[in-house]
Amino acid sequence: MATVPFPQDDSCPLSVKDLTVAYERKPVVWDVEFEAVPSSMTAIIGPNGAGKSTLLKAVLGLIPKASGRTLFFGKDLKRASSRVAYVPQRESVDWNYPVTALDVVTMGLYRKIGWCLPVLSSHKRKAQTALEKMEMLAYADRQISELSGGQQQRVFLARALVQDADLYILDEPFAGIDATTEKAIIQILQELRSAGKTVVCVHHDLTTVVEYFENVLLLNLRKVASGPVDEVFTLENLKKTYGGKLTLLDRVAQSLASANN
Amino acid sequence: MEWTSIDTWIVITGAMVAMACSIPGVFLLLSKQSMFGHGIVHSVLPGIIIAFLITHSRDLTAVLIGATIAAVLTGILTQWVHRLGQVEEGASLGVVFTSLFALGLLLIRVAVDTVHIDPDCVLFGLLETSVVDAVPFGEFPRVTRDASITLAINLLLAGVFFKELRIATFDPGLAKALGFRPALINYGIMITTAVTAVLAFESVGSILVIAMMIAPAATAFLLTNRLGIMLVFSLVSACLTALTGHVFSITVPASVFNAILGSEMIQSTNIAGGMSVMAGVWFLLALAFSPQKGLFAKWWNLRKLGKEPDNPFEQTPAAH
Amino acid sequence: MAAFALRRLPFWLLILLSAVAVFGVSKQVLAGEGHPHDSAISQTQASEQSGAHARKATSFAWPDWEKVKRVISFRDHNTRVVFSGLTLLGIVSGITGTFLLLRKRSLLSDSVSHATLPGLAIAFIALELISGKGDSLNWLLIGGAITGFLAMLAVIYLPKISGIKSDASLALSLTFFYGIGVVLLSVIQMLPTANASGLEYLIYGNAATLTSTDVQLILAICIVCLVACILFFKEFSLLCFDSGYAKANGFPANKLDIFLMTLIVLISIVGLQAVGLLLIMALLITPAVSARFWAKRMGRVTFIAGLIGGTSAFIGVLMSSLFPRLPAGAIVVLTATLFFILSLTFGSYRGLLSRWFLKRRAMKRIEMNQFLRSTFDVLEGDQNDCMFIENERIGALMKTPIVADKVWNRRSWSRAKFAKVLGRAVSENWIRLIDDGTFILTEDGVARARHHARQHRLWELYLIKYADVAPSQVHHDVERIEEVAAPEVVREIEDIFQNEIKSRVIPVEPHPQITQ
Repeated sequence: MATVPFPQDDSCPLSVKDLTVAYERKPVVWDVEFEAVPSSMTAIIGPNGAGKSTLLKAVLGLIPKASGRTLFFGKDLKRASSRVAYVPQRESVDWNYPVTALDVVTMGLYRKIGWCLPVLSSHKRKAQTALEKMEMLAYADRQISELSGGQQQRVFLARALVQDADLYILDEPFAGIDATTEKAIIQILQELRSAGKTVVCVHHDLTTVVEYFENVLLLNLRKVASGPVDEVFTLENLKKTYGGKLTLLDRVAQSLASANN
Repeated sequence: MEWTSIDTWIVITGAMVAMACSIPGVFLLLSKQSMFGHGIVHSVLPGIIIAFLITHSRDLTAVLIGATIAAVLTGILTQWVHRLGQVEEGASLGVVFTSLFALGLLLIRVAVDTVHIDPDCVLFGLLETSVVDAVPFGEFPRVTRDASITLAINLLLAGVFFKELRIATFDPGLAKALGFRPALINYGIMITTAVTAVLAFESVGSILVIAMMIAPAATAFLLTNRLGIMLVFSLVSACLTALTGHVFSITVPASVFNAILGSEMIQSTNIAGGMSVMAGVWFLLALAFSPQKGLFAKWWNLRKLGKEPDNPFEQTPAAH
Repeated sequence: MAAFALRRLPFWLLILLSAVAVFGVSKQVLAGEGHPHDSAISQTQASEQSGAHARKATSFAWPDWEKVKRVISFRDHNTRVVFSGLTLLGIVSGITGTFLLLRKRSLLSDSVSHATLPGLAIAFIALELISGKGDSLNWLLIGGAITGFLAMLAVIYLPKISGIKSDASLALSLTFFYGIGVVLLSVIQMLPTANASGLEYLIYGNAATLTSTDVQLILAICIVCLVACILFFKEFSLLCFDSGYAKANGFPANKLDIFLMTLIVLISIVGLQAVGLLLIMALLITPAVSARFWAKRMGRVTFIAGLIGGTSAFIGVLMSSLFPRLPAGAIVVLTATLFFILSLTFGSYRGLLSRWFLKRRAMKRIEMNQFLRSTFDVLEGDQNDCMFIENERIGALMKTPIVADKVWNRRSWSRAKFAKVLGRAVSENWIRLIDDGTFILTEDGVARARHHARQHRLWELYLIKYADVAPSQVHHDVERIEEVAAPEVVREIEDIFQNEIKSRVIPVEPHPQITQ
């Protein structure tokens, strides 16, 4: 694959160059080079342990990189953080924490409210609007452990929505949620894309890739391929990514075929 | 500095205590309860006082029984608070052991009028005095005997229950599914820890016990990934710590402070303290130079990765 | 911009006011020269020092009224000083402790306070060497703060660089620093001139010996921590809840973390002389743990923790000044423990009793639902199809007598339990007994039975259709399917359900009943 020149302009929402992450002696993400296409939805897919979440975390500076550079809109994350919204994995937080759903969504505004300043009722209203969009307003006052998995994911997405960012980075948003919540979330994401926002999303379900996304990054420790779904999401590339797990690939082949028809 | 038979006995006793403590320490480390040792060293206070109040003597057996009961109670209460109250484990240990310690302090003030019991003598037993009391008179020090017996029992327990301990500390869920009762095993670890600690700190001081419950195990953890080897390494590390700790405490502080003060008034310092400092030093050395998990090795590997990219992956994928 | 600043004015005023208030009160409290021998507490002190015989003589006497009046009216300067210092310390450690607890680092306070020992000792030795006087408190505390701070850094960074777990890093830094401290203490004992009694007060704490200057320091540090906790309340809570998100969102999470932990180090330092090296951690942990049983929101939890911390400290000092034998630190901690036990038992949000009552109520409700549903099944068995009967036929349903044994057959309950549920159904007016073995449903009973039969079948369909994800959607206390599944899902399942009823392709019960 040809190396793309590293862009410096602010049109590219996310560009990753030469990214390597290593735990102890073995690298878990190797030399990844990747650019997100503006106003599009990109799926990061790969087998378990392929380093998908690690890649996202390293991109966002949550874990140290061994080498590499990531730019958001041509800038460091520090300077572009107001344009980036991150939806972590659901398991990453303590759901027994004493906050309500509304409090969690308000957290998306903390950066905008500014250091040391209190949350005002206008901020709460904004958060309520975001909750309403996710059909979660009725649960605003619930402590978050009293929500179901899908509802928790909706709260997380509402928190990202309220940030009003230009790039949305989601880590396994569809893990362990029901089909309808998945549809609702995908609908919101597609609306975001239509509004000119960029979505990058770790995804584990190969059968829905074609339906949901237009770009794809195939990852198995190193980048296998990236680009538009219809070019890159081929059986050959998938075999390179997943090895020879044929039963899985058969199903994907079926879904590919049905998508083409 | 002169090395006498007392020094040899101190090192032997220290090594025995250190090894005896390091065995439960390994399992405490693996089951993420390292602070438990520190907790019980304090929470035994009310047990000791109550035993004293009942027997009206400083009889060792009674004190040991009281202390052990209090220590086991600490473990049980901590688990209760953790499960019933959904309180994080560290916090529940904190609540339980500080409460028991405070209770002990209160009991000392209110109830123990006639005889002086100082929290000091509970918390700072002196390794050197317990050896000096015996060796010059040609006796086999009681401390050494006790520590050897404890060590033997702990070794035996670790050997007999090796696979149960491994599975319970590695994966309590799996252990339960296989019918091993991880809670029971955990209580076993706690009781062993408690008895070992109580036996040891009465004679050598609490700081050494706490240090030996954690540092050799942590050092061994950095050097290997296998439980059996980790146990062996922690025993070795405990011995080394005892030896170097004693040498440290009779040389380093004395020479440093005598140089500063320009006099000869500082001699050998607290040995238990010295041993726990050296335990930390050994851990730091392992952290720096461990062949797999050491910082130096990591740095070296990263450098190597940077030099020769692509290499490890040329053959990897389509191998199926 | 001006309007922007103005809208937040009340907030700034609040902070300013609280700072001024605390400062003013402290000035008031500390004003005037204390006459050390003129106060209840220093009398205590005097009797403490006059040896074992005197102690026996004063052994646990009830305080006379004169003394109670003296203590309660805060007439004595020293009483005021000690009370204000410890109470504020209790409040502020409760508040900062909440963040510590939620950051899952409660035991950090333990390591930090033990790690102050080498700093205290080094400062002591240095002062001895320089001035020959080792008990200049401020320098000692600065020394302690430095090593405490180092230990805090070690606790935080060891897991990151070495892969050992955080509990092990706590224990390691505790023993390492404390070991150095023990060695240095033995050095101090060998110094010919040194009198280490000042150090001992710091290790074991002695509230009664607090002087105005000590309390001024406590007040100053507490005000700093309090203001920091108010100002950075939302940043700290975000950090504790989801530090990864905070970092991605542009907050300097690491610096914020170190800042928060530095506040803990400061509190531990000023707590040393008040309650001692070991018990200050109890003031940080116990109130926060207790407060979590009362509230589900961060602000409330923090407030209640401050309240519990302050009250514990107040009661502790009160007790120890009324009963000279009682050590203040231990009483403070035991009072906090008492609050903890009370909260664990009676806490309104997660307390054992409230959880038990909720569970009991839920069990009763579920039993009644099961009973009515089975009754409905029996009715249906008799009448063939009454799931979707029209309203006018409900009257007919109400008139149909039901044999109790048939209902019982459908449940696995014991006779006694069934009788109990039946009795409750009668007293709650869901059913009416006709004779010993039969009953009829009331109007409410029919409605509720129908509702739950419907809910139950929707549930089963939902669980079958979404078998892969449904279990993770179910949480405690759910009953209506609408609480769990999204509205679209409910509609979808209802459609399936209706179709099944209409077309009768599948039996109404999704699984065959064994007892039929």
